[in-house]
Amino acid sequence: MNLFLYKIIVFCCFGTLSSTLLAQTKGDYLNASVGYINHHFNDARHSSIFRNAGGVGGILQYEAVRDLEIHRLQLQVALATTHQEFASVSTNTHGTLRYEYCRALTGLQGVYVGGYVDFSALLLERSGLWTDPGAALSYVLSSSLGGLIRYSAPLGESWSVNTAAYLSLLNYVVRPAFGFPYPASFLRDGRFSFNLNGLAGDIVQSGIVQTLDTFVNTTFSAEITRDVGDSGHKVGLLYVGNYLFAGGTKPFFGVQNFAGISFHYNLSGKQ
Amino acid sequence: MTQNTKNIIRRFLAFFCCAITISFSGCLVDSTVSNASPTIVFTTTWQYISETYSFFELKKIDWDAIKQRYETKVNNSISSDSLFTVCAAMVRELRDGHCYIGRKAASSSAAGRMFDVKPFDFEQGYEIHFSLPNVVKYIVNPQQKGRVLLTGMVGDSIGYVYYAGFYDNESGLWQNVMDDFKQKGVRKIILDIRNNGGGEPRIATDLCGYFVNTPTVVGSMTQKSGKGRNDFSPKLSLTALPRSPYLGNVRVNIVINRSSFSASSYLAGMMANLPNVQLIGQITGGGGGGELPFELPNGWVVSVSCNYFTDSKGKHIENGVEPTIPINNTAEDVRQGRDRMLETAIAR
Repeated sequence: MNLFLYKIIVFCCFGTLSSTLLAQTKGDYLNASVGYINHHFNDARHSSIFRNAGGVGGILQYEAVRDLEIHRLQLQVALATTHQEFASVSTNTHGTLRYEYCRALTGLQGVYVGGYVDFSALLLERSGLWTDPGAALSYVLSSSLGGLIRYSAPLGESWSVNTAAYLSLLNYVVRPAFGFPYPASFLRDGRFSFNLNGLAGDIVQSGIVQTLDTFVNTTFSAEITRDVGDSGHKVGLLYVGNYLFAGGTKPFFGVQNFAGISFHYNLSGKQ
Repeated sequence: MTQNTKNIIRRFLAFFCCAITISFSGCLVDSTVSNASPTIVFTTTWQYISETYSFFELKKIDWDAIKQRYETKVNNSISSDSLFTVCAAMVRELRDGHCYIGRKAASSSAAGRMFDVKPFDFEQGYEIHFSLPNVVKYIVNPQQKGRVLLTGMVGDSIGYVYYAGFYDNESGLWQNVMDDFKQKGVRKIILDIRNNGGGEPRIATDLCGYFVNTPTVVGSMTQKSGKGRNDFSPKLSLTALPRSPYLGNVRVNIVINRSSFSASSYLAGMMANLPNVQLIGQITGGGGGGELPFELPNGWVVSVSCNYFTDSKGKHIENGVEPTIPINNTAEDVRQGRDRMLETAIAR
């Protein structure tokens, strides 16, 4: 089953990428997407098993497409909860604010490469038999510098396809220490508090720099859009897959799938 | 539209459908883990406790020997209920009211409760006799504040407050109580935390603030910092910050019993070494560690203490805080409407 799916995905991706077509349409866009989120994850701080959380997600994005470059500012949010059959339920809230810049590659039409900076907060809150608020909360907070490759191409007169892959390279990461709701620096500095109230700022400032050996955050997106009339607006279907690994004595693994509808509003007026 | 474009769109739609299918098929995975083998569940339970529990040394518990004793009772044909009973018995070997194993209750087995939980009974073997209606007989003009505070006066000069639980959303009521005591010029405060099962321990540190006039270390926490049995953080100080009104010049008698658990024991331990404070009654129920739950491969939850509190003199409270003046009610006292522990707190 897995091999079959893998073949389909590879076929679809490379089939799409092999089309050598024109670059993305110039203009300023306000994009919005809404859809279903599935989060398959294990936080070793809370659980010995992988759990699945389902919920809703949304993306709001400003995009400026120029002759040879693309700027994007994107806010992505997701809220998902695990199923109820076990003694504990996890409510996962994930928000990412990202700015990306990419530039067209000479000689490879439609291919852009660039970098991004993002701020991401994944909060995992347990309920059920978790009665202590400090123990109930786990988190992966990160700010990353990474690289990206994007491929955009029109398909005939009114359709187009956009794919992109992101990989974080240098990360500032905040995770709870072993058996403790605060980062390890709190232990080293001799700090303790019975709850998290008023400590968000201190927690955010207590991260450490990590690279690919201990922190991996990679995203793949694929979208197909169709022009709406000749206004430059578009509608589409969007898939975003994200893999996140945060190492340590209590590592976190997560695969998040988003599938939804996208709307692109052309702020530049009629084409 | 060319045939090539149609093919690409078809491929994308196939990919999109696959993505959605993968996403939704994930919904099915959770149910399969409930088939985790009993030996894996048992081993994971033991291993988590081995790596996380903070009182092995204090309680002189040989956790490896306990494993040998209990693993003979587990095999892969054991029923879920029997496995739960074995794991719960192993957890109770920790003799810690914060340690338990729990599962979502089957409606037929737990009389409507959401969870089936088997903690250690720290009250077992103790005579515990307390009646709030009896207490009220000693109090002039008793007033209920919120769900957990009952206040009043004993005579003209003794302020009395009964505290039933350390609930964070009601901690603001304490300000009214302390302001009232200050305004009335009480010469003694009786703080009754009998049958208080605990709650948010931060409130204990806050309450100490009314009885100190400079920032004062009232205890410390030591945190498990790694998987090794001896992996602990340095001591992390708990400091009470002065709060207004200052009542440190007033005698404080704290009434305790074996049902004063967790945050109640923290409060007793923090206050015990302040000037003008006496603990009156029966040893508390202990509970000097913060609990950290963990989900097992079959969806059950095991929780154990992952840190420990010591008072400002370095003394553990896990097994209970001893009273300065030991006194206990009898069952006959309660029947006769008498509270010998409170009488002692009034008199001393």
